[in-house]
Amino acid sequence: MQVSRLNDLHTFTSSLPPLTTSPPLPPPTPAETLQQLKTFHTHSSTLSLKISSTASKLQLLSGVVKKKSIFIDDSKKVNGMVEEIKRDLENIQETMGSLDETLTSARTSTTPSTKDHSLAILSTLKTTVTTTATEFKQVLLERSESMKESGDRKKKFGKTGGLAERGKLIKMQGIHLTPQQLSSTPTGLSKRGPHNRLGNDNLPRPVNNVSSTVNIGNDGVMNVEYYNGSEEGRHIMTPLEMQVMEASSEQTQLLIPSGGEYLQSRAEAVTQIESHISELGSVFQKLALMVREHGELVERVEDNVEDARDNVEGGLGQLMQTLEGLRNGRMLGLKISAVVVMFIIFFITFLA
Amino acid sequence: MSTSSSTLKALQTSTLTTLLSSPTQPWKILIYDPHCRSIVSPLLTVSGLRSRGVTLHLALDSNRGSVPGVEVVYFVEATESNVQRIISDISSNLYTSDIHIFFPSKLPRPLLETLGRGLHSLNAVNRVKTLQDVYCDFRCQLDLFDLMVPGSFKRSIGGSESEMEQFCTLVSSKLLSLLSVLKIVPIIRTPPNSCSSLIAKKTSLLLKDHPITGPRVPLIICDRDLYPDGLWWHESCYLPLLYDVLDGKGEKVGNVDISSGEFLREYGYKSFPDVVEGNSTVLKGIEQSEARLRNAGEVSDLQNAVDDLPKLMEKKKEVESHTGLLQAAMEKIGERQIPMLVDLESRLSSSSDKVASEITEILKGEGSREDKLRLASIAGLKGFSSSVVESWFGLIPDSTAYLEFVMQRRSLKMDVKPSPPTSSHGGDLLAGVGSVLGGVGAKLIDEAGRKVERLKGKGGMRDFARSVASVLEGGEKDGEWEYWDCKLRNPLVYDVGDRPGGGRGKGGRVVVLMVGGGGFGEFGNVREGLGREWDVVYGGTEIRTAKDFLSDVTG
Repeated sequence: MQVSRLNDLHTFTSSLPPLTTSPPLPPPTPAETLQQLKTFHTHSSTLSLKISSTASKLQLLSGVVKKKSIFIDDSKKVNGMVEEIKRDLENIQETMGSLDETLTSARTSTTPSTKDHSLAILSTLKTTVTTTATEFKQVLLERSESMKESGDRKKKFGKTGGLAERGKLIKMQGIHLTPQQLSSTPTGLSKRGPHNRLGNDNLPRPVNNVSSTVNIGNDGVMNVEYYNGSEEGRHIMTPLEMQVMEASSEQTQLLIPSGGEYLQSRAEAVTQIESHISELGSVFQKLALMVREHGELVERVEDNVEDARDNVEGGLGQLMQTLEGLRNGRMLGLKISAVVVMFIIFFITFLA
Repeated sequence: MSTSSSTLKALQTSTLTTLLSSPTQPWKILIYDPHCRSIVSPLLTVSGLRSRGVTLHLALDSNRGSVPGVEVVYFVEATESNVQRIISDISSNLYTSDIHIFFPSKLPRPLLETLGRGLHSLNAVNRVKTLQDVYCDFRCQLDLFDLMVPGSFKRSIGGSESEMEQFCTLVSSKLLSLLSVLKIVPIIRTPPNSCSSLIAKKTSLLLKDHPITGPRVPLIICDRDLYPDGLWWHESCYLPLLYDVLDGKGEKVGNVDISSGEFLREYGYKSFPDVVEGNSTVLKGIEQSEARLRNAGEVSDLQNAVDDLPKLMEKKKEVESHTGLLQAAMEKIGERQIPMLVDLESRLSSSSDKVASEITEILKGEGSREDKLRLASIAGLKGFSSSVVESWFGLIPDSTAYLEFVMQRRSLKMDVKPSPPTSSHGGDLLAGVGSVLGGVGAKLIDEAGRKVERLKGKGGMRDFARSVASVLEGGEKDGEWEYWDCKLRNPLVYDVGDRPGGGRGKGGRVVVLMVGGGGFGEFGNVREGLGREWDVVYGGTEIRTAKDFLSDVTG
């Protein structure tokens, strides 16, 4: 039950006599600060709008991906959507960068409270982006899963001649392409080989796939960058970026001689997208952890206050102890000097 | 049983959420006083506040810096000093944008006028976009509600007539908050001619002015004074036992936050050995799935692992924190010989010489003064002869005040008669002890078994739980207790003989308010006593532990 008392207030204030003297002017806020804050707010609100639109697109995508059927070839549609979401995420990354800059430039001129306020907004947005990106990853995973399934189905009902050898070849290339992946899961790729030995029409074009993985890579970069909010993040992620680039160039190299081996190259593309996705998985996991840890730092509202009180009480206790110690020290000093004086008197009176 | 969306906590959280969603901007600042902080803090964590757009949450009386251009939400108690503070904030131009003010209870007219005058003189009346009485003036503490009336036991039994009047007005206004958040129209039952019946009367009048629409639900208001033993019993179920032995405070036991989590929901009011067993089963299950994930060979498995592992680790962390609590509790339980006390207390109703001599033995023994006082007081309120009770208190140092208290209550409670022991729970639960201890190799379990074996399934229904059951199920007390129904034409007429049958019967929601302080143990007892079909919403004018209540009695 919420009862508004605004009307009561207005009725009452309108019954009061109008002001004879103008109210004391409040200290004006520096125009610059206000301007900065305004820019920040505009940026952050456009950003959150973008994030929410990306999230809704993502929902659409996952809806499409979930509708698995071998009779509907929706790969084009899906690829288009993936592209779009990627672009959106990149866009968000840019906006966040400018937001960060605004905040850094404003740091000198604003009050601490304003800064805290802005930081809080930024960290909330980061969390949202991370969630969105993780969802994106999950959708991609689902997609590759469904591609595999439909591949299996085709294998069941289609021709199977000479494919086993190709599978072996692909397996080896897969290992070659992603040594990192191999080292983390020694048996993973080789076991997965058979599922992928057959290409099918639902598979996206290899080039397309590679470009998408590169962008997912960027997406991961973006998140880390934001999270650290510094140059370091960019450096941390460069190896991954480079690796992705390498992989893509290798991919093109492989494509050129294998002209006729069309099916093989596409099966390979699936292997690749999968390996990159699982690589990304760990990155996302780290990100999610970082964000969560951040949250746990200040989990409960009253914690800080209570801690502060405990600390103050502890400090007081320590002070009291010190005081006590000092007093004791003084007492001890007095006693010792008394004894010394006694001795001196003793020596003077009896020995002199 | 209630669904998760209709629990008191969920309802109160949604109230707070609507309050926070009133500004038009997505980001806002929340400013509260300590009173309102204690309302918010059990429900919304910092991340919860963040996700609702609160960037900063600040105390009203702290030294706050200015944040221009951001909307601000004040959530403060309706007091003179708080209103003045808000006005001074506006005059120093801390926040230049719109202002939203919420009070958890009704803002009295004089304060409204103070606020109006202050705003008018600053020409800032139009900046206040919201001014609301929210009626949510209570806090949730785990499953209990707490009306936050300090010193309520003393105030409910003593004081002048005007003080009593004031106290009852305060409690009834807070009770109105509770009812409006729960969205129920109560059928109030109170013991005759008590402080509670005055509260019931005032609440009925308030409900005439502030009608609530919702289902009819029985509301039982009772005086702590009529059941003074309720908070003193030694407990055998998990959560009350934790609070008792580890000095739980608010939502924390030691340094562990136990306000949420699957484990507590499932095991909170189970008996201690059950919890120990459950803990190790859950832990083993988690370890198994963890091992399975770690040994995963397939890449698809690995991907699952990446997704599932954090969840699993979180769950493990929660269960492990409970393992820690269990171990710490077990030490204390052994030290204080709680199983023996629980066992003895469960046999008190027979009031035989054998029990009396056992009590004397314990009182002569090593135990802590607090435990002895609790035992002697509970036993003293039973059917033992006065001389025996006096001899017990003679064994405890500094206990004359308690003896007086107990003797006084004995004389009021002339109808003390040895009630038949309710063994409906004891028997079949006891049979389970063997199975709990059999076949489990874990060290923890063995240890637990040795120490707390006797805790299993003791207790049964206590006086208060029996009274509640009797009222709800049309028993003996149903005829005795007063009946207040704000829906009747004249709500102040009660007990006319041909009362409507509403609110009686089997099952549904029931609200129980203990005037003078409620506790976890009593809640557990009432809940278990009434059985699964009743969804008990229990709370007190404040939440007290046995220790607190010992000091309430003499203080």
